[in-house]
Amino acid sequence: MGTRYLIIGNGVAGITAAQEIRAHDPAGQITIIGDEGKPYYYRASLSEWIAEDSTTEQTYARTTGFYEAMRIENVTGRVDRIDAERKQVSLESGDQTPYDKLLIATGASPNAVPIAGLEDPMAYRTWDDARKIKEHVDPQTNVLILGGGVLGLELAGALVEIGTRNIAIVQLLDFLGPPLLDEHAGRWLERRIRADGLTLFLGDTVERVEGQVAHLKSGKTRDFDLFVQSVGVRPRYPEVPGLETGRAVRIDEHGATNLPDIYAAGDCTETCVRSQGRWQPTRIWLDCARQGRVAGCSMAGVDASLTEYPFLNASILYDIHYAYIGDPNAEGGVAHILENDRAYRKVRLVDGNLAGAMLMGDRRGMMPMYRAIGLPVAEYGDVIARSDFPWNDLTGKDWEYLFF
Amino acid sequence: MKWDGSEFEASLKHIADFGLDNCIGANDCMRACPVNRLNVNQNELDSVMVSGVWTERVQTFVTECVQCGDCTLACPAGVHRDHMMLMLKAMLPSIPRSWKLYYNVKGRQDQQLLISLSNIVGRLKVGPLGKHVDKANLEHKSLLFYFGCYIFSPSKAPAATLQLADRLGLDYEVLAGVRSCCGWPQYLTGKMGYGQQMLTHLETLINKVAPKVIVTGCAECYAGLVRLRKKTGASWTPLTTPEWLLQHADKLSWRRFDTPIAIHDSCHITKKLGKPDPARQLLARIADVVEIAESPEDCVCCGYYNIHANRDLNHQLHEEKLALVAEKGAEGMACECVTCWESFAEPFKEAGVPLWELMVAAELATRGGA
Repeated sequence: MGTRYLIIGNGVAGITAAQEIRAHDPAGQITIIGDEGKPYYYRASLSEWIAEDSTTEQTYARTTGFYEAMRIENVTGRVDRIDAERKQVSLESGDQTPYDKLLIATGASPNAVPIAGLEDPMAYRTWDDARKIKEHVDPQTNVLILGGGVLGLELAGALVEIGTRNIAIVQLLDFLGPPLLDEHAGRWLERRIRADGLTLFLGDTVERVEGQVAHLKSGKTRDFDLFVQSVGVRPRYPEVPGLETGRAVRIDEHGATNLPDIYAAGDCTETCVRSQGRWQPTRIWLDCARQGRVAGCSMAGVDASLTEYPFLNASILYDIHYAYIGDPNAEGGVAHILENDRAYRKVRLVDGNLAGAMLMGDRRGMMPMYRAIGLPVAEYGDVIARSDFPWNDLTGKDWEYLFF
Repeated sequence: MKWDGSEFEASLKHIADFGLDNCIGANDCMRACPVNRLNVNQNELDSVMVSGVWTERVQTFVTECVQCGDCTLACPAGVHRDHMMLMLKAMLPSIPRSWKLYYNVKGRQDQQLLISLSNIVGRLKVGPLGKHVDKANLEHKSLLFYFGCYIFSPSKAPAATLQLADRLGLDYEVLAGVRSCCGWPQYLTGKMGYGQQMLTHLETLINKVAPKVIVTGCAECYAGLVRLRKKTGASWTPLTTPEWLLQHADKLSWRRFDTPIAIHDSCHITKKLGKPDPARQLLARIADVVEIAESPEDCVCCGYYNIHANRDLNHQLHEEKLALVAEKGAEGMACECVTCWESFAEPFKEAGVPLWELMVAAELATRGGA
């Protein structure tokens, strides 16, 4: 009988780990436990589904035949307890599943701010959340979104696309899009969103709700039919006696926890940034996948470690394509900025070397720019913020990738 | 230097892994694809890539992918879906017969006799240009025209390019024939090893000339040269034919055509290598330039590299292009890449719409001396 691999979490980290395990151990038994009753799907494409750009099928990251083709057993259930000594996981249904190697890839849950008078606030993270929101909206619906961060703006963008314009966003900070956007980029996006007729309450929050009316801290009021909270997420993971945690499950560079044969990956983890001596929570899809790869290799007995990559996050904010590369908001250095109605591009140099970039509206050059982090570029001056700057020439002999 | 198909495939694997990890499921790649007639989803491609279990739909789609790069431009997450498609081409469990015929000769270092034969037959076909085919004694020259296998094309661009160089009084060497193929036809049909062999051999041939500048009128050859230079760090500079001619444009006297002409962007040069301007600047010397797409990157692909897999599909692309040319009021279209020209030649001829090769148009417009 092959090694029994048990993975808790049917998301990007869990599936990516399973893929690696299967690549390295054809005989292993792989079981994935998910609690949503859905195959592995893209969270970011839920907004496309709400906007009716994607079908349900298209939000799934793999086909229905994938689990069978990979010989992965997919179980729907909720984990009640992990017994690290007996190497056994108990489900809420009462089922017991033994394992040889365990991966905790349980992700994160949306934060909920307690608001007087608001019962059962709606969140926006899972398939169920998206379905509920979709059931409640039509073009006339009066929507209030608490939180002007990435997810709140993504939802607003999707609703606008299906004709819902009566949308208000309440944001505690006085600009949109943190932590990705700085104030300047936030203002750029703000103009765009206001032009679509949305109402923004910046530097404000909801204090209490009476019936279908939200009372804001500023004294203003806003009616709503649908109230969605989108105020960040927090890691979630099962309680395991002896498991080392900070704000999340702590893992080493091989994806291992402090307990034998228990690994973790994805949004439920934090990793040590040795150069800065601090623990950093895992925040983005790409990092979750990379951790899944490393954990999967380690579980299958293949040597692999997490590397400190420059940060990369590229997606759609509201309806704007953006890329956040490296550290565009690094302290010190020089920022070259190009701004017009279509695009906002900020490229930061520290000590004459490329430190990072924030690109909105026009992300041309983003991948070669990502590879150029750390290269000396001071001699080029302002033109490096332009979208036609030849980054490819700069990374000329770097052949690791084919990008051009 | 180890430089075979395995290295290329490892490089593709690297890109594919990044793509699998960073894909956010927007499916914009598949919506942007001009040849996705089966409405294949991105998740179908990724499932095949990871599991190795093929479906008929995916196999057909991978065969028909023209490598235009529209998917990659559309991706919000910076995923190179085009290279992921190359990887799938390399993984194909079986390939169309027409592809097999295609690389019976091309890319086969073990078929020297066949290559020599096809070069001899080709030489007879191309008349005076034949002397440049498969040349045994390549001379040291600072300017090298690289026509590769497209010297055998019905294209008049190679002859026009050399006429222009002669008019400018330049000294040059020419590299042409099947033996100096750039390797792209092999990559595009999934034979990475054959492609790498060709490019390695091309390097040997180029070194015999030791040029400072290499000029080519084929987008795939140009992409091949860019790869070769990136890999080897060679000191020569690759130029497209319009880039080269623009450097000498002021030495020639130009006559303008009195009809507005549309510009077609090649996928490799505009979408993948980001050089939409030279072709426009050159055409602007000859005629009023008509833009037929919202931006150069939105240009409809010629479909050529759907190598014989589905001609009907290519026909749709050609119809779309002809409609755009008519709609925008252009009285003809110009191409900088010989592959695009070849792909469009027949349908444009049938429709009675002039199709210009930029070098041929430039040669005509500058008759009357330097």
